[in-house]
Amino acid sequence: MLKKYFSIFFIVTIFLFGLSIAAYGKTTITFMDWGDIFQIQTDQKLVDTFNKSQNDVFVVLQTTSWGAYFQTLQNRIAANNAPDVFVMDGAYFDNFAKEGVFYDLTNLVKTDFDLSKYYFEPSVCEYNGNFYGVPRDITIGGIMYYNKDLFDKAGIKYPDWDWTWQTWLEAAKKLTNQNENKWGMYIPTYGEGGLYQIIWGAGGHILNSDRTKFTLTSTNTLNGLQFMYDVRYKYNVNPSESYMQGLSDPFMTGNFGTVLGLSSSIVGYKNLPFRWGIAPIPKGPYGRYMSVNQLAFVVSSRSKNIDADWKFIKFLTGPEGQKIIAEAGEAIPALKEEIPIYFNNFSNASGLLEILNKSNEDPSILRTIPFTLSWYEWENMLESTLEYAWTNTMSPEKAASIAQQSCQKILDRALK
Amino acid sequence: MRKNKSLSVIVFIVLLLGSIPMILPFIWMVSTSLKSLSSTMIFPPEFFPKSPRWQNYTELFSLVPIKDWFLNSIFLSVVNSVGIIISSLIVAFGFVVLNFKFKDVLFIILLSTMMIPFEAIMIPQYILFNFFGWVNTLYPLWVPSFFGSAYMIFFARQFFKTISKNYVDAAKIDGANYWQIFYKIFIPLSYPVIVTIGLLTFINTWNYFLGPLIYLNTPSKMTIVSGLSFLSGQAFGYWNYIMAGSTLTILPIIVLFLITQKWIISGIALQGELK
Amino acid sequence: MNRRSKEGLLGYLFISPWLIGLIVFTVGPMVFSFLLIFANWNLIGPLKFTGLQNLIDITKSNFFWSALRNTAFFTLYVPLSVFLSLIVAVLMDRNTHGTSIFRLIYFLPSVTPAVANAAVWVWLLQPSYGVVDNTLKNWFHIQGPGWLTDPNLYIPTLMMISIWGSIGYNAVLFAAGLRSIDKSIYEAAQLDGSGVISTFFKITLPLISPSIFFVTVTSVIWSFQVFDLAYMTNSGVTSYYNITLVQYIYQQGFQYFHIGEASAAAWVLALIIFVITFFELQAEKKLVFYQ
Repeated sequence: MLKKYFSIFFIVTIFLFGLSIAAYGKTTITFMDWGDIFQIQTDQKLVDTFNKSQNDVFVVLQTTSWGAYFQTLQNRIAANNAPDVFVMDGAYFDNFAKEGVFYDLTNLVKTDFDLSKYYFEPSVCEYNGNFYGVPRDITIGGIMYYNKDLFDKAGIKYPDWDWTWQTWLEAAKKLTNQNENKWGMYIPTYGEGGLYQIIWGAGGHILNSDRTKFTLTSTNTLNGLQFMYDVRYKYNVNPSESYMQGLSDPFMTGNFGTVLGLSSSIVGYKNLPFRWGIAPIPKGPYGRYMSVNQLAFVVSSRSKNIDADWKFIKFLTGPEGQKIIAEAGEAIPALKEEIPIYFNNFSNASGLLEILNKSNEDPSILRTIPFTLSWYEWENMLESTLEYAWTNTMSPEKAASIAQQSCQKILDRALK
Repeated sequence: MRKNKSLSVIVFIVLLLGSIPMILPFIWMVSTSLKSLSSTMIFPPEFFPKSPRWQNYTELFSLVPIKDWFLNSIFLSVVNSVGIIISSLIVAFGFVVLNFKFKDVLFIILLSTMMIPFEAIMIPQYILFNFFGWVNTLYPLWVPSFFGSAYMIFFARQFFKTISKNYVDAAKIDGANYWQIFYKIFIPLSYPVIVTIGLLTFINTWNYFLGPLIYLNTPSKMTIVSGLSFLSGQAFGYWNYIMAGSTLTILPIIVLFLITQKWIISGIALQGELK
Repeated sequence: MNRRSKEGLLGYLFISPWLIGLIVFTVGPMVFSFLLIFANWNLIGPLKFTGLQNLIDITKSNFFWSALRNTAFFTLYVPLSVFLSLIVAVLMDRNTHGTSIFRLIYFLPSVTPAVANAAVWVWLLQPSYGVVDNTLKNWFHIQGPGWLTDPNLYIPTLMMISIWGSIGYNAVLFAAGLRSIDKSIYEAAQLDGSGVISTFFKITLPLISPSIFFVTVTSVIWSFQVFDLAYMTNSGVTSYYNITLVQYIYQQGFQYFHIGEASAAAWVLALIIFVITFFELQAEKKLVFYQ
């Protein structure tokens, strides 16, 4: 009896000893990201590939669903249990950076990172002149998805780089047939999806150049808002917001000829039952502008293993990690050389690759999102106020002047 | 006699008409679970799929760790039901039958704990559970149930208050102590309430989705309802799979519900005999 | 030890599970949340006390008052819900065929996922293709309103959806109480010549009043904390006519980084519910009948 217990004890001790030998010298860090089941698989692949490729650092993946991510993150930060490395988006970046949640990566970025190889958005990586994040992927907003089947049926040529808002309107009129529930266009009313880009195309801006004052009532901005209003209530080629209720993704229905949207929708459109393509946003009176947004990798300011964290980040942003992200197809990698691999997944989306290539020659066609402190708060205020115009309760001018006041109040408070 | 029969028919018809809007979401859920992803997006939405896609269910099993999720859900729901039944009945008995100092104040405090929205205490409670070392475990999701739930204690209290004081007094004269009064009188009279508390707690735990999402780090530890939220991403959701999972989620509840209805009925018979 | 104090001690023993749980799991977080009303906290580092500033700030916020107004108005659905649930519960109790199935069907909205419920209602009430407005257009030639998009109709529509969703659940709660009523009382009443309506008001209602009290108090508490239903139907794009108090709290705390204000609003909400519940407890003494 005693002998049996002793031998078990002996085996267990050897096992634990062996385990500790194996773990000796390995630093364990935690990495958190959000995602649906496929995005988590990609993250797991990143983590596994990194863990297998070297013996110093062991990464543990923590995930939660998109809806619960920021709550979970705030819980962890408050409990001093924050993940070592995690993903951050522009809406919250400034606020978290200001609170000191991120580790200052400036020195590491300056000495050990080649930003020129990346699509790099300062508003998601830099705060107050310091680097707190490094680029993970990019999202282009305001690109035009078009339904080839509907265009063929109406006998219209597909959109191209010559299109202006005028050509767009004419095509939309031909594509609209309300009796059949068919519409020529849909321009989303939220910032990144279409509102910003239309304002920019009309020559307007949301904020002034140092992002302290809103410019929602300038003539050009108002012209942009008027265009959004007119397509709905003057030209009737874009349905009213009341019609849109309950419709989460208009393009997927197959009833819309053209829809402005985000590049992140491509993965959902992969198996649509109709043929489609991507074109740049048509030229407005002051040019064509699409938005570029980014997700960044950040490090917790209270992480105890900065060297290990940086090593993992180098992998995530290096050719190997970015390639895995590109192959999975759920996001466009920020590392420029790996971008073509993303498009191997999507034959329909070559129009976007064209846009990206053109942006290398002419960077002005991609504009950064005007993130600031309390961005989420004023963006919500902006959208819900402008909603009055899109539901024809109020003129765009009146809605814009109310939004100007309320948003300015929020920003002033945040910048105090 | 005739008056009673025509009344019964009217009652039946009224209930039948009322059940149509009640069952609509369930039908919609099952119908969506049989659609292909693109037909879930058709506008205006069609209520029934043209050709039901039963593979959604088999594909679901290979997409997500449903078996793990089911086991986690069952574990939590059963344990919570047991914990809450036991603790709520004991506490409610204390509030109803015994007299002690500050009883009324404490009862008001009990009710007050239901009035703070969860969002206000989510972060402090997380810090507390983190301090216990319970993050990334199931403990925060079931241990508190053994300490009662204000809602169920209140529910049991209402029922206990309808039990006549005469029973208690008679038992005391017979020399019973309070524990015996609780065990031998109140419990047998409470079968409908016990079953209802158990059923509702089971369902509440089964459907609770936020807790697992903030306390657990990996999808495989999730419960089935929280786990299904991983089928919905930032850009769009796989509604057909989500509804297939939801249909599977509801089936055990339906079975449990029907079984417990029978127990409530037989519990009444027993109760009649006891009195 | 005399009998009185022995009973007192036993009383505490019986409620000790709840009391212990309260001290261990609840008191700490509640105190902390309460302190946050008077502070500015950035999740890292110490609390910076700011006195009553947060409370002042929320009273200056239009969204706070809109949320309060919307939520208070929404709560008015409770009496109708309780009444209808009781009627349905009594009908089910009296029903002779397939009662279990009826109970199940009416209970289904409480267990189908909130997204399914919301999707069906949005589908039914859609201004262009929804069944309701289409019927109005084709049969009565009236252009139906935007039930969930018209600022004046949003909350009433939400109230209607809540009544619908609560009937089956409340009926289950009432069922336990109804089934416990001794059938001999009904028999005695029938012998006395009491009709259906009279029996309902003179016998059923008083005997079921403890359950009515429970359903009313808990429904009011729940309705003031409504979040899921609102979020599903307004998708988080909140305006003066569709924001609810808990949505306001959620936004302030988790999206806008104003944790102190979120706490302040949460405790104001709790206070309001407390005051209402207090009045309900006073009414209990007069209206609720225990044996």
